[in-house]
Amino acid sequence: MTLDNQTEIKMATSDSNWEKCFAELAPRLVLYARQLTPNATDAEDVVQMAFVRWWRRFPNGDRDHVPLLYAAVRTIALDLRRSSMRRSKRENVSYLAEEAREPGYFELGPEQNDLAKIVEKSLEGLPEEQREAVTLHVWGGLTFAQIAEATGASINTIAARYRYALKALLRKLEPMREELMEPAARMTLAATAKTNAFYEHE
Amino acid sequence: MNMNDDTESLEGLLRGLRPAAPNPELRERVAADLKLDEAWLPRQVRKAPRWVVAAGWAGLGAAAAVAVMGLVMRDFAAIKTSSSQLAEQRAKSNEQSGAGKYWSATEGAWVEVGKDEQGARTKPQEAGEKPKAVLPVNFQ
Repeated sequence: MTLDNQTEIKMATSDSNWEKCFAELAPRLVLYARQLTPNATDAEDVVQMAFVRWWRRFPNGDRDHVPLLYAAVRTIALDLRRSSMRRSKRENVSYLAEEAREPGYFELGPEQNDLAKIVEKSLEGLPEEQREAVTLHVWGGLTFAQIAEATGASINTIAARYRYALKALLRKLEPMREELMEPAARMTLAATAKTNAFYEHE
Repeated sequence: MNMNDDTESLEGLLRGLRPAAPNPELRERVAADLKLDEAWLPRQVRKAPRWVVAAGWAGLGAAAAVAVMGLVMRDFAAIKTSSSQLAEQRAKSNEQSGAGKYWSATEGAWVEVGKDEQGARTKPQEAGEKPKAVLPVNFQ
């Protein structure tokens, strides 16, 4: 492998940058990978491979190329899923015991504990394509066009999947609507506004 | 509250949830992988200026050409010497006038030939027999 001078310089100057970049992206990447893999361990393996590949390719961690990172996560996750499906068929491996020890999708704040669990359950009930669209748009921060590029579907398809997913989530969350709109939910909304302002500032 | 409001508030709720941080071990693994990459980087290697590299290659080519020419010239000299020596030997053997042992194809045996006997010889002819050429074969 030969690296030109520019790449060497970039790598030299970005030794510490990768950590910053990784700290920012890893939770979202793992959340996305978990939508495509049977367990958290596999999801982390996928993220490791995808991030290392992406960083080798883009050592300055350019934000314009983040959609490619999600695309890499998707490709590796699907490959891994195929191979693990073959393995589980061959070895008759059960993931039930592992699933019981799986960590949650979201950080559990004192007020968000119930909400996080409900959303996680609701997400798990959605078809994979819809889950993928929601995860990439809401937590990955990708536009519909970027999701379309990463997944190989059309923008309209992605938008439709997202709409269906939100409707389905609304239906699932309907029984807890009052509960969700209690102070905890209001605090969540306030936190959301802060987060959005932060990303817009970035 | 209409559908759009519901959707927006739901989006707000969802965005408020922060994805869980991955296992700290994952960061270590990525660091190890990237460190492995750095080992491949020739950062400390000083690259020679381009003209030095070109001159080096030209010098190497010239040296190879000189070596080849030297070998060729030496072989040529050796060939020249050996051919002159051979000529001398032939001249000497001619002076000795061909005395020695020859294979006679007609007699089918080795024949002693004296100094005086030179050139092609024939077996003493018998009546009605055609003369046969005896070619001297020197195995010296």
